[in-house]
Amino acid sequence: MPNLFIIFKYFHIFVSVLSLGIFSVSFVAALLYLYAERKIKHKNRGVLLSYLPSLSVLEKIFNKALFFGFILLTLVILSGIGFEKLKNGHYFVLSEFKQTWSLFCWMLFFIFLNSKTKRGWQGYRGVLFSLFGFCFLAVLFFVGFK
Amino acid sequence: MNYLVIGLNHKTSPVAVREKIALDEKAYPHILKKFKKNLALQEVVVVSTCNRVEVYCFCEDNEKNRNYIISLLTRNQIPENHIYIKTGCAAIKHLFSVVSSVDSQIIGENQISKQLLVAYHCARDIGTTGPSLNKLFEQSFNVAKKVKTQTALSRGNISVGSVAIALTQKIFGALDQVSVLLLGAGEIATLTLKSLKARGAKTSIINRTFENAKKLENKNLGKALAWTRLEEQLLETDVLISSLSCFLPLLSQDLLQKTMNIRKNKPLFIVDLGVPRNIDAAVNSIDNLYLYNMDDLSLIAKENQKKRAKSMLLAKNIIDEEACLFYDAIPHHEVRPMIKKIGEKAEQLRQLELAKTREKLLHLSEADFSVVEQLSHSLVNKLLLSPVLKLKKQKEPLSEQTEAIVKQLFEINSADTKGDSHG
Repeated sequence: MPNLFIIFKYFHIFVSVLSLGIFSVSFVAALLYLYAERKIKHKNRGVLLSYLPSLSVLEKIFNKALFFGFILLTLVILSGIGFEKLKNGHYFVLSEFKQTWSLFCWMLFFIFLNSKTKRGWQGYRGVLFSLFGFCFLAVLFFVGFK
Repeated sequence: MNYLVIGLNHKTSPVAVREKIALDEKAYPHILKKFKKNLALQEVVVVSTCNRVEVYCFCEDNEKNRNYIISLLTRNQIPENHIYIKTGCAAIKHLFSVVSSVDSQIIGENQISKQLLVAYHCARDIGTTGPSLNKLFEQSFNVAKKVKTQTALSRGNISVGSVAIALTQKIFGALDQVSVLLLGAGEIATLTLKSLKARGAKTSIINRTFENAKKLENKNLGKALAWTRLEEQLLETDVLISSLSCFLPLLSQDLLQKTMNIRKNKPLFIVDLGVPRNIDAAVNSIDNLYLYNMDDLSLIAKENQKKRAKSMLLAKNIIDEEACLFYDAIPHHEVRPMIKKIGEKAEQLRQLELAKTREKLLHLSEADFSVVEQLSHSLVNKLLLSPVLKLKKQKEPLSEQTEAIVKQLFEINSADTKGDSHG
């Protein structure tokens, strides 16, 4: 099955790069949102603030990028599992850091996206929380692309 | 012929005077036709806004024309001490200042350039503008653009209401999807609500006296709701503008925290315009809730005003520079009739002398005599070239003394030149 192996391998790399890009967009939007939100909250008029879009627009960009990033992360994990099966003959090894970490990140964002509207994790609180998620993701991508 | 501005504005006259002669845009054609018909005014544009009524023209600057413009503009209802008259470079500078909003009551506002554009287009369509005013107005709009892009004169909001609207836009983006609740009926709060509604926001009004809310509803400012529906309405609203007169905070931190929990932390922007304050200042610590009171908004407005004032100097420099450049580029119209008369006089003398010479040189063939004719032509042109060029290069109108000397030197009658300048 060499062809399927190559397909899984390249698909895994492709969706990994894509999800990294999409998560980066979400991360930048989150940082800009936090900057603008704090400026408005504390009644400061930063120079950058006048050039930024509204909080609502920044949050929409953050949310959409996060959602698509999560879907791509799911594809990264699924293709990784398939790739692992074809390469080593087993689907998942809990002892391997990359695999466990990716599952942990996936669950973290799954819980976050589900609770976002239900628990009122929108706006400042939600964006701040997601920044922790991005830190975990950064570790995953660092290990993954090594 | 010169540029001339006659008018009055908020600096020279109170509103009670200005409103007497203010014109509607629809009245422009009527008054423009009157100007054109009754006076030998070459080119004229009339501008009327809430802060100014002005006539811009390009005509012979004399007492008769000035008086005629003033009488038609003011309909003899206003004392002359309210009126200003500016000519030449000062008139150009004035128009550039007006269109760039340097001369406005609210410095940097954008409305004035649109109003001038409407007035100019109206005059152009009716045919009361010509090359001189067309050039001046086109240049004035260019100068306004330059001032706008190169200075911070139009940046930042300078009234409490406009700062509140700008903040609403910064939080929620498009205003057509924002619901606004007005508590009370304060003047600034009502004006802010009116502006938000004009921008598409969904508005509602709650007042302790329902009749007062109903009055605002009748003015089409929003839906009047009963006082008992306040807490329920707080769950749905995005912007709360409060301007009640109460001595204790009306909305406490606990109440708003509960409200925010039920709203699932959907952002809420509270504009507290009440004095004493209607909302507990501590509520600003609640996540996704933004509280701005009168002082906060005034501070931002004042900061923006200071920024605009700083830009004024730069804007005035641009205007002065552009006005001088424009004025220097105008070929001086005052000397044209004189130059024309000098040319005519010289040609008359040349023809006379040629006729005399012809009688004396009858033996010459036509071809030979044409050489003499060419010589006379060339001599006259060369003799006149230097004085005519010097006259054309004049940037200021000739003084009476200089004008008299030129006329004496070339033996031109005063009546000849004046008659032509009206033409």
